[in-house]
Amino acid sequence: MHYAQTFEATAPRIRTGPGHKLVSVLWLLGIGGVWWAVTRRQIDQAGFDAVMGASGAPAMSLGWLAASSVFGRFASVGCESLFYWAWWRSFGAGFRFARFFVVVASLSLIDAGSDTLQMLIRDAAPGLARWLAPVLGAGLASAPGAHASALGGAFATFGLCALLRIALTAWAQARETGRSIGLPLLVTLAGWLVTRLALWWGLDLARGMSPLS
Amino acid sequence: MTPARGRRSLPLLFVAVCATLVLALGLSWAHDRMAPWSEPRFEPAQFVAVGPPPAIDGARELWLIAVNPLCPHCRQHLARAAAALPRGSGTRLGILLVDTPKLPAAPAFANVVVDGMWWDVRDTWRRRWGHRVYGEVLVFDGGGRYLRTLPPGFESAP
Repeated sequence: MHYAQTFEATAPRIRTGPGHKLVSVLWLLGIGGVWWAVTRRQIDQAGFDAVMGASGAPAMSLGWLAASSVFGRFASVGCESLFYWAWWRSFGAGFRFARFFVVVASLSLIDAGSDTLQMLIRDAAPGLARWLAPVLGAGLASAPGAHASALGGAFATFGLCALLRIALTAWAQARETGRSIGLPLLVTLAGWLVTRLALWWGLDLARGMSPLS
Repeated sequence: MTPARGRRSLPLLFVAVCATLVLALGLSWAHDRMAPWSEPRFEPAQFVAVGPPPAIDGARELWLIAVNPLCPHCRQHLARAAAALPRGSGTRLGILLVDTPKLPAAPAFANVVVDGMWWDVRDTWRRRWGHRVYGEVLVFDGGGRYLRTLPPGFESAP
């Protein structure tokens, strides 16, 4: 009876051995490698090398910029995972942080793919940008970094890819907590919306009355 | 406190801290947006002229670039603004040293050819005008009236 109650309250647990942990670590390193490549390409496209070169910064700075961006990406994944862990744990639900961290890091590959496609489209087929913006992100319709307002900049990633990431994050929570997808989807949507609002407010506070474009 | 409740209190505290931080950010944003910022106006008496006497008499427009001596990219923004300056139209280029509590002994931009350099000693740019982005160009007419602001890294003169 006791075991039956436990089984109902939380998702089925699969014991993970050292081999599984090693695979997870290697997988995370691979994700870090993907983000490193995407970030270096973004730096090249943004022309940061010219700016930093003109300011007398050493070339090594570009490597540090990319490395700090990748670490920042993992820190962001960690914060997101920690929030959902805390949210479900505060309701008494079973939730494994490390496992969910790997899931969220894996889902960040959707963002990496979207960013890469956006760069390719801007470089090779700018005419397609407005047609693919609803899929890859509303920001694709404008020049990189040139958003008319902080609000536009905060919601620049909104598109089908963002919705897919939200849905899969919610599905992972539903699987982890043993619930139906309804409440996890609501929590994830609310979390996404709040982070966009926070980004909007943060951008506005950073720029003050200075225009963005 | 039961063990189960104890296990929930730390995650609940974390969620509460997150919610409080977001709320505080939202309140700061609302306060900032409602602040009575003044429209920029260039009055030389508000600032301290630095270096050679400014040569802006008879100017049709003054492009004033906000520069912080510690900003690594400001020199690049200054070069871009100088390149985009409309030639032969009576437009002058000036530097406004902002967020600089003490005037640098040997200003980092002393060797840059501009028509004037001023030190924003009263923090007017940030505290009265509400501007915060280094490298932006504030455009004034010959009478010091504000016309527009060009963001850092703008491609060409509008």
